[in-house]
This record gives sequence, structure tokens and C-alpha cells, in this order.
Amino acid sequence: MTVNDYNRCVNQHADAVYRFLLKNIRDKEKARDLVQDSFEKLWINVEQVSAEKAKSYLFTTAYHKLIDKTRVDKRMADWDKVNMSEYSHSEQYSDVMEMLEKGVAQLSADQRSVIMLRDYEGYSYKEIAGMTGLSEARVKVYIYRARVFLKEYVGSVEALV
Amino acid sequence: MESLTRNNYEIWFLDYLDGQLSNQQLETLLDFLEQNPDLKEELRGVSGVSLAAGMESLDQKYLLLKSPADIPGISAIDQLCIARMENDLPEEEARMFDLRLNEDTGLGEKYAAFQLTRLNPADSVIYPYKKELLRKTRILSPWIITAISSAAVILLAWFLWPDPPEPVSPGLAKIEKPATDNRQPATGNRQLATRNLQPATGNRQPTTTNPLNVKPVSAESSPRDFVPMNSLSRKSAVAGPRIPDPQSTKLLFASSYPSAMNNPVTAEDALTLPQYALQLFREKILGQDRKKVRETRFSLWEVAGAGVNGINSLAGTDMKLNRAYDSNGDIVAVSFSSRLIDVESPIKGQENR
Repeated sequence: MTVNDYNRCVNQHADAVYRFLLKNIRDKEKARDLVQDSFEKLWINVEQVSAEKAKSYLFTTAYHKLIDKTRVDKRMADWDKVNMSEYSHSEQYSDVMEMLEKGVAQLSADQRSVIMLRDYEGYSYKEIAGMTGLSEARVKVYIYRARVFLKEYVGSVEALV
Repeated sequence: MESLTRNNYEIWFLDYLDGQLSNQQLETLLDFLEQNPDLKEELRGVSGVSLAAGMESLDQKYLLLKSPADIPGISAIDQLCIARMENDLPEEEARMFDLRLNEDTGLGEKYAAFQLTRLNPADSVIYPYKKELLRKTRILSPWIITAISSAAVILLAWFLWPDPPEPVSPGLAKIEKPATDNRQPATGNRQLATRNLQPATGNRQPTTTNPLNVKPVSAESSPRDFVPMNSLSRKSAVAGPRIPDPQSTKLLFASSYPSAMNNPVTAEDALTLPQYALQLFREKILGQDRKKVRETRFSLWEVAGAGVNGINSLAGTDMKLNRAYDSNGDIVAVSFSSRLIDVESPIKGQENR
């Protein structure tokens, strides 16, 4: 991969990697550090990574760095610490989406990462398995259970409302 | 177990029928039955009652079976809805599910609830520090590459090319008298030079004013007739490998230039390859006037002067690095002036280069 290819990766994927990390770790500065670490690792291996595989390489790196960071911290940040609407530019940030975000925060780290890779980036079970080191079956189980949980979470909140 | 009384004898009776009484408990039961003969008759009546197992079997038992694809903890209908949402169903099953959706309102509501769980990437999050991640590439503009290449060629030629000897090699005198000269002048409008050549009679006369006996190139004559390659002397005043005579080589190069057809080139004007490269460098890169280039000898002070001019153009300063030359074209003094200082220094002979 050339320098131009690398810079193109920055422009194309930095936002997606940042979103993935921010919504997982829910800390702006930590997410920024992880983004920089991920791209630094890509730069170090720029000659070994092809331009086509750069995105999956970035997400794989970001996922593993996220897990390492989470294990070091060993705690979940309060949802109130980060107001996702500050970093979101959606014209309609509906109540359902807000409830969904809160529900996602309740998931385990692996489930949350897996379902974000599935919905945000459209990766297949196999690709997600390759990135996370999980088996394809485990990825599928995580996604299915996450959907059940989110459905019940949103439904329970709506019921209360 | 509690002691046997008329209030809890049924429990003792059931344990007796299940064979779960110990030997001591059995003796206790027998003693109780001797004291209560009516209960003994009741126990005898219960002992004969038992149910026989039937042969019924569950129809479509296979529907209850689970496959490795089934996920523990998730109901079948939930898994079906999620599979449809994730496009995990085979085409036929997906079609049947869609048909069922239209008929089953409850299934439709459940499926809609699951569709709400899909995270929407449309709420774009922007990474605000992208510029920190970008890497820069150094691109050399073509003129820098040309300047570097020219400087490298000049330096290489400067150190490797031997200086031509100032006096003419005595071996060149032999060009004046070829053993046989059967050359005939060309017909047509050829005009011979006025200097040292004889009319086309084949009789060449040696001269003292032009030891090379070579006429200058003119627009009306063929340049190649003047210095045939086979007439070049193979003797050189410099010991070592045999090399063409530099003076002859100069004229050979000069006479080959197309511009020489229109602009007569003399021996004094002709340049060797390193000299031509140096001239090009001084004119194009250092920006010096051609006349000055021909009249003065190259010195690293000229490079310094070009550098000062470059700094002035970039920084807007008004520094000057002036050079004073002698009659031979060598720098004899340099002076530097700026807003803060003004100095002048003579240059020794060996510092000119």
C-alpha cells in the first residue's frame, strides 16, 4: 500500500472506526487514542497490508485494542458521560434510536462489538469471526441474542412510557 | 421420618409400597398394623392397585428436535424472525415466512419489533482529528531534480575529465599532410573558406597560422569534410591510454551541432561536454548571463550567490553577495552586505574553484 493509499484509508475509514470505538467505549479521548493507535499500526504494516484489506485490518486492530483497553479499565462508563447526540449528525435522532443506544450499552463487550460490525459496516458472520477471533457460530449466537435483548429492552421501555 | 401414628400412616403405607422402608421402620409398621387391624385391611386393599403403561407415542416428535444451528435460550419463533431479518433463511423458507407474515398479525408485530433492533449507521459520527493521521510525501519538483542531476554531472566531469593540454599536440601536425589526398571538391554552390584551403586541385599546402589546417564550418559546405576521423592523430603528448585529441574532439562536436550550420563555431568557442554542462548549470540554475558565464571561471561562490538570491526571494530580504573578477575571469574578492552587516574579503587563487 502506498502513502496515497494510506491517506485514502484515513479519509474513508477514520469516521467509521471512530464511531465503532466511541459507541463501544463511550469516552471521546479514549476513542481518539484508540483510533490513532489503530492507524499507527496500519502505518507500521503499510507495506504488508493491501489497500483492499485495509478496512478489515483497521477494524480488527480497533476491536482488539478496544478489548485490551476494556480489560485494563475493567469498568463500564456511565452512559450519561457521553451524549451521543454531540457526535451524531443525524437529522432525526428518534426516541427509539436513543433507547436502542442505551440498550446497546447494556450488552456485553463482545456482543456490542459484533452487532456494531454487523449493522454499521455490513460485515458477514465469517468476516466478523475473522476480525474478532470468535467462531462463526459464536458470532451468530451473539447477534441473535443481542437482537432478542434489544427487542425486549426497547419493548419494556416503550411499555413504561 | 416422623413416628407412625393414625394421622400420618398413609405416608408410611406409600413408602412401604415403594419399598423405601428400612428394616426397623418395617418392624414399626408391622407392630402398628397389629395394634390397628382396620388399617391392616386398608393397606391390603391399596396394594393391589397399579397402572399399566400404555403404548401411545407422540406424533411428529421430530418437530421438537433441535439442530446445532438452533441457539439455546431463544425461542423458535424469535429465531425464525431474526433469521429472516439477517437473510439467513434459504430462499424457500424465506418465501414461506413472508407468506405467513401476511396472515399472522402477531408474527408481523414480532417481526417489526425485531427490525427496530437494527442499528442505523446513518447517524454519522465524524472523527475530528483526521489531519493528524495523514502522512505527507516529499515530492521534488522537476527543476530541483534537473538541478541536482546537472550538479552531479558537473562534479563528476570536473573530477574525472582530464584537462586538455594548452599547447597543441605535435601529433596533430600530421593532419596537415595526409599521405594521399584524393578528395575532390563537391560540385555545385560550395564556397570554400578564405582562410587556408586551396582550390579543388588536390594540393594541400601546410600553413603556420592554422596548424590544424581545418577550415571553419560554414553554412554552404559539408562539415564532415574538414576533419575526417581517420586523419586524427593517434599520438598524444600525454602518456597513457590513447584518447582523441581534445581540440579535434571539440571541433568534431561543434561541427556536428545543427546550430553550427548557421552559426560558425571556432575552436575557441567550442566546448567539451563537461564545459557545456557547466555552462548550462550556470545559465539555467544559477541564472547567470551567458556573456558573464563565458568570461568568468566557475566558482562555488556563484552557487552561494544564487543561494543568497533565493533567500531574498523567499524571505523578502535584501542581502547581496558580490564577486569581483580579474582579467582571467577568476574571483579575486567577495563582499556580502545585508541589513545588519557589510563585509568584504579577498579570495586566494586556490579558493576560486
